[in-house]
Amino acid sequence: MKRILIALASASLLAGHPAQAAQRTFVASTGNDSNACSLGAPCRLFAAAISKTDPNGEVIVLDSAGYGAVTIAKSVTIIAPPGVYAGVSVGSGDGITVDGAAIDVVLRGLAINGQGGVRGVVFANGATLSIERCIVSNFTTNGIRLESSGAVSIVDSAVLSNGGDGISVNASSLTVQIRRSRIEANVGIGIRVQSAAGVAIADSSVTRSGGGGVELFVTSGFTAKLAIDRSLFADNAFTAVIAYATAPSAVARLDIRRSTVARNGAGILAIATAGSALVGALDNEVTDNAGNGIEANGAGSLVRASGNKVMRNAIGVKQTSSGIVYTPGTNYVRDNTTNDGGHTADTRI
Amino acid sequence: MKRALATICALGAALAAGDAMALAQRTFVASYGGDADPCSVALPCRSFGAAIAQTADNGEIIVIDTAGYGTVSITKSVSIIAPFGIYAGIGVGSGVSGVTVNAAGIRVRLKGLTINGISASSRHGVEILQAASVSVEDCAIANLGQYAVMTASATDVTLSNTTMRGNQGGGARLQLGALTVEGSRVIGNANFGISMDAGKTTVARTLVTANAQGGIHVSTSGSAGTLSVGSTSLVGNGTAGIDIGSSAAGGPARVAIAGNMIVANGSYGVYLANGPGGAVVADVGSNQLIGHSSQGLVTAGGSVSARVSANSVFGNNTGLAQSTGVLYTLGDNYVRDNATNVSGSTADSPL
Repeated sequence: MKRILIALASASLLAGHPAQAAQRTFVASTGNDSNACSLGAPCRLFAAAISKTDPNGEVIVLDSAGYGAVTIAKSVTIIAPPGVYAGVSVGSGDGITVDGAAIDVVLRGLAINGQGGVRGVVFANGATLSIERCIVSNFTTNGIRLESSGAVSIVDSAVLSNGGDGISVNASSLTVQIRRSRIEANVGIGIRVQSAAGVAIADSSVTRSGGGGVELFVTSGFTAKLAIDRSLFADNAFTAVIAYATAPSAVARLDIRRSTVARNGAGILAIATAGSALVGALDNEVTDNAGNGIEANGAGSLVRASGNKVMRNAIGVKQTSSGIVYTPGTNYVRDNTTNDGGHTADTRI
Repeated sequence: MKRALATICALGAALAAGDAMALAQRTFVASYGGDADPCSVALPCRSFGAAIAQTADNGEIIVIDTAGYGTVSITKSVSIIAPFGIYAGIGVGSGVSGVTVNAAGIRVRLKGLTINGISASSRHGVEILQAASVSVEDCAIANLGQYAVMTASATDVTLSNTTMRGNQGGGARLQLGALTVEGSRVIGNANFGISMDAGKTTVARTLVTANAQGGIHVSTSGSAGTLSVGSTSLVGNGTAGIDIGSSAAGGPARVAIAGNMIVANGSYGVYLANGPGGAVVADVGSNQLIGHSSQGLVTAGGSVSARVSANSVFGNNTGLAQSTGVLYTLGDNYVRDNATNVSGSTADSPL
C-alpha cells in the first residue's frame, strides 16, 4: 500500500497535476479519454488531451493509431515523433481546425486523411500555425485552407490528391512559408493565393495538378505577393505559374527564381484583365511545356525575364494584348516552335 | 586461472550493468526508471540529471522511451540522444534554463529533444555559459521566456535541423564564439530570429520567418563580427530581413549574403549600417529582394561598403539605396518595378 502511494505520488510529480491541466499530455492507442492524459494514464483522442493541456503545452502521441479530428482553440503543440503514425481520418467536415484569437499552434508528424471529409487543415483564426512533417490527403475540397491573418509555415509536408486546390490562401495580412514540401495530384490548382501579405515557396514541388500549379489570383484592389525559389513545377495540366489581376488597382506580384517549369500546360504567365500582374522570372528552366514558355497578356501585365533557359515550348517568349516581357539580353531561348513572340529590351545595373 | 576468470566475469558484469560505483560510458533514462538505479539499460534512471552524474566523460545518455526528463545542467563532455521515434521532453519553469552547459573545454551534443517553456519567466532553452563546443540536432525549442539558444561564451555552437519557435527573447543569440545554423526553422520569436553581438555566425538552408523584431541581426560591440547567410528564406520578419549594426557602437563587421530569398519583411530587405566603432564590408549577391515598404537594400552608415551583384530587386519602395556609405553595383542586378529603382549607387566592374 505504501509502495502504491509512493508510485502515485511520483506519477503525479512527473505528469504535472493529473486532475487539472498539465504542461504535457499523452495519447495512445490503449488510452481512455476519462484518464488524466498522463504518461501512465494516457487519453485516446487529441480533443480530450487538448482540453487537459495548459496553454503552450504539448500533446504527445505514444504509439501508432488514429486520434480523431479536432478543433483547436488554445496555443498547443501536437507531436507525433518520427516512427509513430498518428492519423486523423475525417468522414465529414474538416480535419483539424485552428480557431482561437492570437493562438500559436504546431502540428508535427500527423497523417490527416479524408474519408469524405471536406478540408484537412483550416486556419480560421489564430496568430501562428506551423505544419511540420504532416501528410494531408484525399479531402473533397482543399487540403489546407488558410483564411486568418497571422503567419503560417508548412515544412517537410505533403498535400496529396485532394479534390479541390491543394493549398488555398485568402487573408489579407497573412504570411505563408512553404518549404521542403510536396503538393501533388490535387484535382484543382496546386497552390492558390487570392490574397496574402506575402507567400514564399522554396525547395518544394507542385506536380500533376488537375488545374494550374501555382496561381496568384487577385480580384480586388490590393497587393498580393508570392515568391518562389528552387522549386519544381511539372506535369500540371494547365499553366504552371500564373499571376492574374482582374480588378482596378489590384496588384499581383509574383517572383520565381532558380526553379524548373517543365511539361505543364504552359509555363509562366502574367495576365491582367484589369490592375497589374507583375512577374519576375530569373534563372529558371522553362522547358517542354505544351503552351508558351513565358508570356505577358493584357495591358497591365509585365514580366521581367533574365537568365532563363526557355526551350521546346510552343512560343518561347510572348507578349500579347499590350502585355510586356522585358528581357535584358540574358535569356537563352531556343528550340521552341516559335522562339520570339515579342519582347522588349531592358537593362540592368 | 579460476581466479582470473572470476575477475573477468566480475569486470564484464560491471561493464554491462554500468556499476553504481564506476561511471558508465553509456547510461539510459526511461519513463519507468528510477534515479537511485545505476542508469543501465536494464535499470534506467528517470531524469537526465541523475544519468549525467553516472556518465563518464565523453559518454552518452540514451532515451529509451517517450516521457519528460527534466531540466539539466551539464558540466562534462556528454551526448544526450533521443532516437527518432521517441519524444524526450524538457519542460522549463520559472527562472531556469532547459539545458545549461557550464564547464570549460567540454563538448556537448543534444539530439532529438523537445524543450518547451511552461512559464513566461523561464530563461533559455539551451544556455551556454562555458564549453568548447555544443551541437544541437533535431531539437524543437519553443515558448521560452528568453532565447531558444543563448551562447554567452567563446563556444562553437551548431544548430542542425532544429526548430526555434515562439520564444519571448528570440531564436538563437550569439554573444561570443561561433554559431552555425543549418537546415533549421526560426519562426515567430518575439525578438530577432538570429542575433549576434560578436563572433562568427553562419546561416544556411534555414527558414527565418515572422520574427517580430527582424530576421537576422548583427550589432557588433567591440570585437569584429563575421556573418554569412546563404540559401535561406527570410520572409515576413519585423523591421528587416537582415540588419547589420543598426543600433550599437561596434567593431567592424564582414558580411556575405548570397542566394537568399528576402521577401516582404517590414521596412527593409537588407539594412547595412555601422556603429561608431568600425566599418561594415559586405557582399550581397544572387538574392531576391522583394516587397519591402522602405528599401530592398540600403547602405545607411558612413563606413559601409557593399558590393552588390546579380540580385533581383522588385516591388520595393526603393530598390537599391546608397544613403551614406558606398553601394557598388556590378551591372548585373535586375532592379525594376520599385517606386524608385536606384537611389545613388556606384558602378563597379568585373575583372
